[in-house]
Amino acid sequence: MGRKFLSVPAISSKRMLISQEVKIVGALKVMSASGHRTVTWNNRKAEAGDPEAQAAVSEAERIFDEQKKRGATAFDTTTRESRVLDRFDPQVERITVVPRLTGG
Amino acid sequence: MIEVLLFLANTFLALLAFEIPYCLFARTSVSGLFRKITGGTPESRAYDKAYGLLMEHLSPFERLRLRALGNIKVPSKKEAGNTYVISGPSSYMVKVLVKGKPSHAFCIVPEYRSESDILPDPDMVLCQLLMTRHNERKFLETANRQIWEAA
Repeated sequence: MGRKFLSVPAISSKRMLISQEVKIVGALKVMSASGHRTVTWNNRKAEAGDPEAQAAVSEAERIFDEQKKRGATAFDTTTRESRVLDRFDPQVERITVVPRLTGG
Repeated sequence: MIEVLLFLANTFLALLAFEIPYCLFARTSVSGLFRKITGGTPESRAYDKAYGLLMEHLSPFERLRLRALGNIKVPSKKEAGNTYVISGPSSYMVKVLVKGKPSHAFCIVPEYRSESDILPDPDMVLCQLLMTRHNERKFLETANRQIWEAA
């Protein structure tokens, strides 16, 4: 019983570490006919000079720019207080890209 | 006869007891849950993926509302008293309530250039939701104003 009780803080701190790890990962979600395409990157690793992480950030930026050129609208949807993004920001945790819309 | 009615009532209550927490917390539709087990067509998988993305953007209350009433309400920031009613999952029309009364509607669709531009229905709902909630000016500029048609 006592052992079980003692193990609780260890699990909690592990969960906290996982949630902190998740927070530094960004995701770009582009809507498409197959659901949506997701590109993720780790900004902290990219800033530390990790080439793989930097490549992921560049790839996300390329897709973002390509979609913007096609007339898409990008939203920072990390929180409910979302905003429109004109430029790619690797610090943003979740970007949702809406394709170009037209009146029906 | 009473036994049958009691059985039906119990089944209904059991479904309700499952449905409400499921709507509040799950990010897949009930049919999507079955498809996860049984597989599915590329279209149904795209639908389920889009449904998951839509759920990520909704509050638990909005999820419940969408499942129970089939719509989400977004208050207008530009015109006080106006409310957008986004009907899910398969409507291109965003209806507008002015001071709670049906007034007019807006129609907005993804620009079609190829087959890949056809979005699954939940993605369409998400487009309308994000545009009305966070980019209302562009939404009003783009959408075509239509007369209200009762569903």
